[in-house]
Amino acid sequence: MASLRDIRRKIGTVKNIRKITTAMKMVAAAKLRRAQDRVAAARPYADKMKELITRVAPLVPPEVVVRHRLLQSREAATIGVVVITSDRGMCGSYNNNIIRKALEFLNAKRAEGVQVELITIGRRATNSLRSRGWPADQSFGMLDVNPPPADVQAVLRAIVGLYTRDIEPVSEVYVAYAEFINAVTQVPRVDRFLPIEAGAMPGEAAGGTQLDFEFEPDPERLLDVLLPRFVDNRVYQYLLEATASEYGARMTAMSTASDNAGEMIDTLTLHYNRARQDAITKELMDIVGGATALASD
Amino acid sequence: MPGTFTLEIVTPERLVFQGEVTTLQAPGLDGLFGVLHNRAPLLAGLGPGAVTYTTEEGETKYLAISGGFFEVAQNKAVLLADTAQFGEEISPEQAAAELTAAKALMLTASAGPTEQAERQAAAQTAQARVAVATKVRR
Repeated sequence: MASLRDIRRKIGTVKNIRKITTAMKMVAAAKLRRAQDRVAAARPYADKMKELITRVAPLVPPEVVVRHRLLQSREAATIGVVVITSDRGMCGSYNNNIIRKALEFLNAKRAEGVQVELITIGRRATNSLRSRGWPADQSFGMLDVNPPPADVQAVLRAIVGLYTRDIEPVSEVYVAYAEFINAVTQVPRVDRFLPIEAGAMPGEAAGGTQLDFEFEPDPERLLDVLLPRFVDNRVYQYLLEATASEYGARMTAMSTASDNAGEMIDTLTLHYNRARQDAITKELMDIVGGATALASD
Repeated sequence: MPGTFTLEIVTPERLVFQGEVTTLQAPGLDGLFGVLHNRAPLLAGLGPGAVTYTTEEGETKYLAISGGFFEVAQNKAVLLADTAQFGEEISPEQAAAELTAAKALMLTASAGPTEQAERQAAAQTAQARVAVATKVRR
């Protein structure tokens, strides 16, 4: 049986922990909302972009489209893999889930004899993968809710550059990240991101009346500038989604931690009261025993 | 009263502007162009430069963009910009400093052709930012 003072001290500790986890939960909730707002704010641009491609793509001869470097499939000698996690822990199994998924994928590719060029975003991925035999070729910090445009650009250039650079470009690029379902559920996935699959391209069948558009410059050159931006935007959306997932996971983890702390405080208080009563009873017994002894003299 | 058309300016981060305007000027890839009411359907690529539009109330606004796309059909125009900043949001001193830096970087050698193009685009964007920042303050 722990002494009264020990229990009291333990209750104090747990209460402090609960204060911290509650605060962290609130911060995460606020950031999650901002992240979700940003996902929503990014949607009009992405939708419009798809619409434009839909309009332009049918006007470009298919054989030219296929030859576009962002659509072209090559023999898989080297592939690029991007793993997106958070910089910090305290977000439950969020990082571990992504890393496990990524490792499975990476090891499978290695077993097939495919060379992998690895980009990690978020310190957790960098460190964890390095200690498991996958040092990153390039690593970045995770971007927060409101990242400076220059940082976003740097990440975009690195990822898209894997595929578009002139010297030894990779044949495919995959992204491992957690898809945001809701604040409690994030599903780790590995998506093939480049080359753009014909299916992932906005559909050919443009609904509604086909207007007679003037193009400046010609559709072919337009598609040339549209596609890289479409790709950039997809990367940007992956990053936004990862941010939302991260804060969702963190909020849930901290909420659970706060609940657990509350439960522990309840249990400890119960122990404390019992111990206190024991002590009082013991003391009373002593007094009564002493009194009886005196009276019987 | 000149005819108006609906203009929407969107960047990946936010909806920058939405409303009725009477005129618009944008830096097309092949040169500056203007749009008025009842423009024939057009889809254009935009380079770095300044976008100017006049709202229904007759207010003229200046925006610096670093490139994007423009579409107009049936008096509905959408401008997709990679980045867009109003002249009011740009500090002329800072923009001027950025322009000097971008120009200096452009002149340094040992860059690949893509990198050189990127630097040139950056310098053009900086140039647009300076132009736009000074225009609103005149």
